[in-house]
Amino acid sequence: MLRVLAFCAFTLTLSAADLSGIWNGQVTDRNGDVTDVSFRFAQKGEELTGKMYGDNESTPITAAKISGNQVTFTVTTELNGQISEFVYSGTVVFGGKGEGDQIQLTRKRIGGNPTGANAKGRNQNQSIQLKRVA
Amino acid sequence: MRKLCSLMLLACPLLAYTFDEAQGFLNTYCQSCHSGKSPAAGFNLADVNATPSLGRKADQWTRIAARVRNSEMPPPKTTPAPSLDQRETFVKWIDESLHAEACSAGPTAGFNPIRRLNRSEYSTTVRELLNIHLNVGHDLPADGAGGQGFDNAAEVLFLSPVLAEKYMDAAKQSLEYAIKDSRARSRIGIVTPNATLTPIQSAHNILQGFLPRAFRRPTSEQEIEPYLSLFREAQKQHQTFDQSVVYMLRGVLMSPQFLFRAEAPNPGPQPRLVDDYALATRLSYFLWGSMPDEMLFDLAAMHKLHEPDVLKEEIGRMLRSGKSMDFIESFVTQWLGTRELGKEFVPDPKIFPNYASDADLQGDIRFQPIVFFHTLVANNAPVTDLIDSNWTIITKKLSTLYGLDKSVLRKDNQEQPHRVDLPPGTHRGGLLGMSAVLAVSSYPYRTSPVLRGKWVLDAILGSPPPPPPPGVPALVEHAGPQPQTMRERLAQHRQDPVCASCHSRIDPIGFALENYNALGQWRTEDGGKPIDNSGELPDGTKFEGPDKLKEVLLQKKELFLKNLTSRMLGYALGRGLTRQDSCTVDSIMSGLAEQGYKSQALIEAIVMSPAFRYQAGARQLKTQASTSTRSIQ
Repeated sequence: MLRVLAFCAFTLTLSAADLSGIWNGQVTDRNGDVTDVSFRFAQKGEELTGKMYGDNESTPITAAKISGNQVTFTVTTELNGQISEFVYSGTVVFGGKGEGDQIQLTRKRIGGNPTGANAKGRNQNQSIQLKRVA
Repeated sequence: MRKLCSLMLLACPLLAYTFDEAQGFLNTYCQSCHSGKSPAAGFNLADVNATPSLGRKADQWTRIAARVRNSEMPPPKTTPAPSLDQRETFVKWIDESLHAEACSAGPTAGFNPIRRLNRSEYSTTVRELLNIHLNVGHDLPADGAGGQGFDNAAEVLFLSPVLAEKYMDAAKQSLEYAIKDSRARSRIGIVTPNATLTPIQSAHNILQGFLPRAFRRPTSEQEIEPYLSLFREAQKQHQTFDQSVVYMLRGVLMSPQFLFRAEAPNPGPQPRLVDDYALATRLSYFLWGSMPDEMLFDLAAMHKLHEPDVLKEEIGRMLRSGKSMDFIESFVTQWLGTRELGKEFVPDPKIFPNYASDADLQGDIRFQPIVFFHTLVANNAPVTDLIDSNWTIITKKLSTLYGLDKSVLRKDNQEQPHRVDLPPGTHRGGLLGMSAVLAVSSYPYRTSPVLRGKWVLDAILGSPPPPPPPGVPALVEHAGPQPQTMRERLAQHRQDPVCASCHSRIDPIGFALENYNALGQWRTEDGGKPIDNSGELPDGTKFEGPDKLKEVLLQKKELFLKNLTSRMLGYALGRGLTRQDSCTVDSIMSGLAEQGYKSQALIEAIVMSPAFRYQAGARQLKTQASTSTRSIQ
């Protein structure tokens, strides 16, 4: 009975919580360099919109879905005419009292046909732990 | 004890020295001119003959300290004259008494004067505002140093008519470049008019997005109108849409709202938190030397930036960003004086042909302290590593210059600066083992124990020696072989008691660094004679060589930390520090010790301080002495 109550409380917490806000995390690229990745989300029910912050301009997230504690979205970037699509998916962990909310994400580059020396590790999955900033 | 304190540069409180003794000094050396009905320069000792004058007449006491410290008063060659020890004791007592008086209420907010974006800030701001890769500040004149010795100090960032024209040219050049670049057009928000979008609507849309970014705060419809009028005017003159946009945006880039950093004044009597946008701007110009990014603007709009956890998170993000290199390069090169290496200061090409002919080596030398500081901050290493460390930043060419074993280098990309652990006995830990520092504290053609000693006292310990008294001859430079060693010549110089009082603490520090030549290469002989790297301070502290000198400096780390904190706080605030700011410095230092002197803790403490996050109230500003502490030291 206690376990059922705990489960109910947990799911209630999830449905009541909201991803809306600013999130930040770090990702280690294939050269071993660590860079920050930051997002702003706006959530209405299961509808999620938002943007990924960039050095100069932000990029909107697309195909965003949130269901329970599972989230997925896509960011499409363009650099020197080359389009790259990144799919982010992962699990939301809402912190208890005194603990911050987190999203454990995996970033996967989609498409392209990497060849040559530069292709090494290009399409590898990368882990990002986002923490809520505000 | 007093003598020991002053000569050893220790921060000893002069508890034994009293107000009455200070009055005795003034009565003995100053009264004959500064009393009666017509005192010299309008200054009467009667103004400062009671203890409340330390609060009410702080400016006057500050001027007294400055003139006595610099040996301007009593005038040279008058008798009786105080000894250097008497001068230093008296001045130190004034400094400490004024400090105690100013800090009675603890750290407080300071004034934040309006200042122009300096050349570097202007270039990076325009670059990010327009998303162009063009150094638009290239043709702007270099800014002078003010405040704590940096070119971002409000004191020097005024705008002359000639300079305004230069900024006008820079704005025109950058916008004409941007209008032809698709990325820049997108960043500015330019949408070419079409059937459903009139030119004036498009111009209005551009301003709605561009103006808040340019002015670094939300803008009203009323503020858009003057710039829209410029667009209309250009259209009337039959300019194309693009030409009209350039004309309109030139107006924005020449607006004082863009060109100057100014905050809405605090009309209330009490200090208050700066508004979120002003905090975002203070933060971004401190840590990036540029405008806030979109995330900072969003946090400001959400009124979250003042929340301590959010602010600390942002400091971390900003320091991890590549943009923090602008701050680190600017701060480090101005603090250490290495900015002039290769410009005003060039090692003699006849003596150092390897330096003169190798641009890569010149770059490696110049960047070593910058990358060292960047690595220090990135790893949150203690700032005491700046004095001595078991690691450094190296390149293949630097390792050759320093005579280091190649095995210390990493396996790949050895040409790029990288961190290495130093084996014992390499003498390359900390700033004092770096070529850039050792070169700028030398003459182009030889080392100078005096320059190096003075450099350490000033840049590391923040206690520069006073200027030489008037009429003291400089060491005579001989062409060709020197008749004596430098040590012998300086010993002769110190036989004059007037010279000895300062040189007895300058020269020993320089002697300890004599194993480095004027380019920082290790040597054991000079002119065929073995190097004597021994030194003895006036208190009897003896040391030999740079490693032992660094041990002595680490024993005085409080002085180093106070100096580094003062300089970085001055850089962060973009102005000279006041006596009230010295309370903030004390507060930061005490917190720093608790956190193991971590470098990020220092930066965090500066941002979290009342001086950085608050605006002074009108009442407080009235009572604050606006005199820079640096200018009176």
